[in-house]
Amino acid sequence: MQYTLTVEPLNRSIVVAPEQSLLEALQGAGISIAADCGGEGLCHHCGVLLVEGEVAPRDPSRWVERQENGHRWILACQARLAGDATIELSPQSLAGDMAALGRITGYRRAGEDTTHCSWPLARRMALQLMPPSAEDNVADWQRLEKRILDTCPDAPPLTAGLEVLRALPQVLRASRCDVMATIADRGYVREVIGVAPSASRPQHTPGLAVDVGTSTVVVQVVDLDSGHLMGQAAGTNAQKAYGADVISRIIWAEQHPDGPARMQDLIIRQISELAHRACELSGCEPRQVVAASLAGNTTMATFAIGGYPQPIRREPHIPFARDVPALRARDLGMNLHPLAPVFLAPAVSGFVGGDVSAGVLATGMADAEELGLLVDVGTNGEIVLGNRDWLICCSCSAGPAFEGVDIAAGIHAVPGAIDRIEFDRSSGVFDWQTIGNLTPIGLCGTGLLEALAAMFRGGLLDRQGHLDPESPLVRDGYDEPEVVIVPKARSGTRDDLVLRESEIENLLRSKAAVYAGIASLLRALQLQPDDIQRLYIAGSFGNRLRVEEAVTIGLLPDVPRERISFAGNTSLAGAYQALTSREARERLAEIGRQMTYLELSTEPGFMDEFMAALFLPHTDLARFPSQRGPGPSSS
Amino acid sequence: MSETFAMPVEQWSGSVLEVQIGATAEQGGTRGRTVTVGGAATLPFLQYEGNPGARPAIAFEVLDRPRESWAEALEKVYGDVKNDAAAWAQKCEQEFGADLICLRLEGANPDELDRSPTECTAIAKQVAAAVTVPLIIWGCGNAEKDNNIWPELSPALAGERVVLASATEDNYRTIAACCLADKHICLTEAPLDINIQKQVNILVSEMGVKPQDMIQYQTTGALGYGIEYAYSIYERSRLAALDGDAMLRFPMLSVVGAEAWKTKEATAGPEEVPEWGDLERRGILWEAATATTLLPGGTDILVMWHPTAAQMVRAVLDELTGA
Amino acid sequence: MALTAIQIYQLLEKSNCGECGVPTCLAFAMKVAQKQAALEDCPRCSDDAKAALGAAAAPPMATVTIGTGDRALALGGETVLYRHAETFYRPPGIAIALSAALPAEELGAQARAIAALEFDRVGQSHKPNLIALRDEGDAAQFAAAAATLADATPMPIMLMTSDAAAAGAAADKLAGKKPLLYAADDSNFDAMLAVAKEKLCVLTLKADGDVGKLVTMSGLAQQAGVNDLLLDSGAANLGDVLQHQTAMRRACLKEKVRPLGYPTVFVPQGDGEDMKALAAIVGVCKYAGVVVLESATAETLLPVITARLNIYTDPQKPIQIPGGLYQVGEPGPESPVLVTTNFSLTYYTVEGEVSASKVASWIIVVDTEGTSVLTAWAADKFTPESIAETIKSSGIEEQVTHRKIVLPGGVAVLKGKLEEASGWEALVGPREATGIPKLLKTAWSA
Repeated sequence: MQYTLTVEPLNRSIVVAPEQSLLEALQGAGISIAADCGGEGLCHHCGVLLVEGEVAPRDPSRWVERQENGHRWILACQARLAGDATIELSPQSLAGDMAALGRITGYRRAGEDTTHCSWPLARRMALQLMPPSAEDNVADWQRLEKRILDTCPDAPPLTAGLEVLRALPQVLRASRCDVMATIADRGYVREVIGVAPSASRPQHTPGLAVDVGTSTVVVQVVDLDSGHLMGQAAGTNAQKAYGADVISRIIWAEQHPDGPARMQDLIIRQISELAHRACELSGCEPRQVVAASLAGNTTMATFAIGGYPQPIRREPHIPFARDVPALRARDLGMNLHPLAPVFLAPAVSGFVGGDVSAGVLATGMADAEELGLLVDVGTNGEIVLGNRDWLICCSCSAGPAFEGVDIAAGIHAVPGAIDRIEFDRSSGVFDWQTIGNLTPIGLCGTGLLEALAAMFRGGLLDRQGHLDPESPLVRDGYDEPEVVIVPKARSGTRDDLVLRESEIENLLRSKAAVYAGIASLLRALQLQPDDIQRLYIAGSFGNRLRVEEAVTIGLLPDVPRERISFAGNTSLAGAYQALTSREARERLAEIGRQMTYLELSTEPGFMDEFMAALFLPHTDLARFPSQRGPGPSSS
Repeated sequence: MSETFAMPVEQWSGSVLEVQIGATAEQGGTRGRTVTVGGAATLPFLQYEGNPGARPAIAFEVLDRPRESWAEALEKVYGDVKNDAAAWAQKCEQEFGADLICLRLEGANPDELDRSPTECTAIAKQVAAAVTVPLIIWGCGNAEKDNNIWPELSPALAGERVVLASATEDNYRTIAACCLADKHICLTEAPLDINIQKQVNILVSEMGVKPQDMIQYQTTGALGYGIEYAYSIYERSRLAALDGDAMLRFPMLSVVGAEAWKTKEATAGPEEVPEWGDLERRGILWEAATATTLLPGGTDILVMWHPTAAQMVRAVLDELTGA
Repeated sequence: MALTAIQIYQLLEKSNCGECGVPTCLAFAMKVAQKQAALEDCPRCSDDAKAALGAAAAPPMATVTIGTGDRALALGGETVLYRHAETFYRPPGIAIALSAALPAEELGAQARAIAALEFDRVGQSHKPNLIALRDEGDAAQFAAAAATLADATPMPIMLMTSDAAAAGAAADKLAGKKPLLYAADDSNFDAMLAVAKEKLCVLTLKADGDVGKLVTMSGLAQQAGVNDLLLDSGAANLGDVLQHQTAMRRACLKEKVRPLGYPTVFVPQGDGEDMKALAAIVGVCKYAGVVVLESATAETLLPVITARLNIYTDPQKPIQIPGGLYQVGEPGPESPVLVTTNFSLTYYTVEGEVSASKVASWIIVVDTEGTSVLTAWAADKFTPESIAETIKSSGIEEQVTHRKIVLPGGVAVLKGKLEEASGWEALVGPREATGIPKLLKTAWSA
């Protein structure tokens, strides 16, 4: 008895015995996913989505499942097949690294026709040329060019560089004119960057999609033939040593003579290292990668090209380019195929960059008739409002509190980070869950926001974010009240995990900045929160942030919950789309042109909105009708 | 030649609350009369549109100990009573027609005389006994100290419906609890910020203090010292109240005298600023002008110092209210 | 009903051509909605679009200029009922009244004195704007006095008379100077209208307490081709003035009653200079275009000018204070010195904490264009250089014997460079202002 397991997004089908766990089946097929606890059902890193089919638990006592985007999320190590099934792997499980990265949208599914999707950033074409003869004495390059144009009428104009021209005669003759040409789309021209005998044809045509985040860099290896994801790696941005936020890094770069070069070196090296790791997982070499699509904020893009960042932080905050002319991997010092085209998503302003325009592309909001709002809950707090008619954006400088910066118990979304927490008023006790179900060592961004909501609901926090001095969990810390979330006996550090009032205030200010940014965009166009039809949350919160909690504390406006969705890493998704489709690149350029930037610091209503949002959920309680009712104050 | 012209009328859905300060014997206090403030259902003084509410009241400020130095003009008027708060209060009522007395317990500040809560209570009671008009009692501004004073002072005047000042965003629980327990009126204070004002109002309300027992106050400067911020906050507050905002519809109090008399305009003599004219006249006018600038914005209680300035403001009010 | 930004956007080409100087059509539409740009600025705007917007966009209130040259006074063009909704644009003109019966020399001297009056507030100079000449019943005297004024001062003149002939004669002496006539009323309407038209004067229309009458008069004046108008409802007491002026502002802004779309004139009545000044202040707060004061006495003029300055300050500009040296309490040569930015909120927060600490201190305020510490630092406005420069220019070096300055904790990174640039020792203070009292009380020593 055997079942067939289809594994997306790898588009592979494997044969599975009924007594095997899905994890074993995957491992047997050479599909390596994270399983840190060795299959014991403890770390929850092997989670997969059951798209279709039936499964049964191996050990009911260890069964864990939940609903995610309409499907069952189950542990691969605990499930066995009860029939044919299709599962979808998450980036976490593929990468085995950095939990809570969020799902990627937009990649191709098995069966989707990719041939009509025009022009990935680079493509390989199998070409059989007619060998030259006395009658047909056309030169080698023209011969190749003509063949390409016959195969692909929308290719022109076409060009080639020195390396290719130099090697072409030999390759043609050695291969008897049966060649594979690698053609890069450089926007205004297509460039042949490699010609090789067909026989040497590699299995895939790898390209990179990169999210160059201020805090985290994610690299995906994508097969440009099929659009399928082959491997992924992520890591903390190495520039962090020079500042947690972009301004600090810009200032560092300004103050050191080779600052820009150093910053470039750091980020390019990191992308290269991650590319190396992701390539390993994908079974290819970095040198084989023939295209790279990068999405990052304006500062990251500037550093990536080794550029001069000073104008970003000075009025009027001008980016070095909106649409960046095509660059080459060699120019940037990347360890890919030297001529691989490097595409950068367009920047809109000094503080709204390619990551945001890529995000707009990925959510599809620029093609929708309905009004959409994209919120990136991160340090820069970029927000985009609009639809296919118009787009407006801003950066609300929320600050790094959501990333746990300047919060003693704050950490990244790593195993051991609390990312779910409740407070039971009657028992006076916190109840939490951590990533990987390990002993808590801190709270990640989601955990911090949930803590705010839990404490507020439970009466520990008043509307201003002040702790209830009467509570046994609240004590006098060094200079200010603090609340004990996890006592040291239960924490993985050797100390109590506490939140101080000033840290709570920081979180409140961050959430107020985001809400105020949203409110300011709406106000600028005389719209109401209710006009928002779709609200996309992007950023490192992925899909762990519970919407209800976000509304309880007033981070998000009180709109019908079904309008809210988690878009995950939209920057990466947009980079992927740009990598795999010329249409997407063109659409992205249009989006860059279309987006109107609103400078909040000079926007008259912003400070007012910000002050009003420094309250739980908001000073104007009428804006949060779902939160009506007496405030949970201590009396 | 005439044309029918209809004076434009706005349809408002709300109004400023009416708050009664002070309680007579029948009502559980000992005041000879009470003062009702607020109640406007239109913009300030816009009689043709709706109920303009109660005429703004003038409170005279009395300190629990004399200032080391103050304007000559004030010394002339209060030099004989500045050492006796009760006598001072009495003078304000009997000679100067105060609608309310505002007693400020500056001496209670630990950096001043550090008066004990018991002393403060005694002074408050003396002042209460010396006048028939309702009272506003202001703490010393030191949160810890004030939180020790209210629990003693508040019950000592229970039932009198005194305005206790003030509840701030950082320190509101004790004073609100006292107002609840002893049936006083809570003055909420914000640092020239309408959002913080509303936040404090919400916090105090959620402690159980009833809306009819609340008055609000924004720290303001005198004319020439950012008064326009207060003016606009007053207008926005009034508009919010008229639009039905339950948490901004409380009567507004303005501290005029204390602010005006610390300005250069009220204290710098002709040797310093010859082009500004006579000091005394200037100082009095500065206080009157500060009050007059705030009135069209929308305020219900003016806390003043100089009787001549108060007299001028009354004359302005007579005209504005059509009295 | 004004069009919203999105509605205006829909009327545009939406090509983001950038020819209007703004990068996107939406940004341009937002400016038009905020009246910061005109639809005409779009070179590709269709006539249909202009027509659609035209009706909605015509300014509800006219802008009227009195006088000529440097001291010409522009009034009106207001767009909002409340300064916080946007801002008030044109501060009212203050007129000082002089009697035509004054001997010529005296009249000239007083006029010159008024013209030279200047009050310095917040680093700006403020002055009265007009001289109002009162007709005492003698037309020849009135005209002669007008001539005296014409020689004595370039200030715009307000001719206060109900005698059209006297007005005409006086206006002749002020030919080319666009004086203000006060006023045309029931008794002299046609005649005054003629004078205004012939002699190119701005004309005040005055009713007798009936705003409806003003509507009629205004319509007639415009029909006669006289468009530089000011309005006085003729209200007798201050309460009526406030109500009428409010009604008129509402009528022209909200109900588009165009005949009432002009600035107003307010001549305070009341007992004595002081009361008139207070009345003038109420007028200033509530929409007056010109207020007339009986005299230029400093004690009464200063509050009126200050009230005008305050109410007509643009609330949209970041609230900031001038840079320089500030004292909290009575600091001495060994007192602490702190540095911060000139954003009002920042400064007053720091000042409040210092004040609460009861430690008299000096505060050096750096002009960062009204931005807070971290914003200013990010935008390169709060730098070792700008701080060092402010230290030098503030005069603090003459006030204290030590050379220690407390730096906001958020910009601790500036310490080294600041010490180099200024020669002062920089102490890193707390990140939050709430930490200041502790620092001043325990950690400070000169």
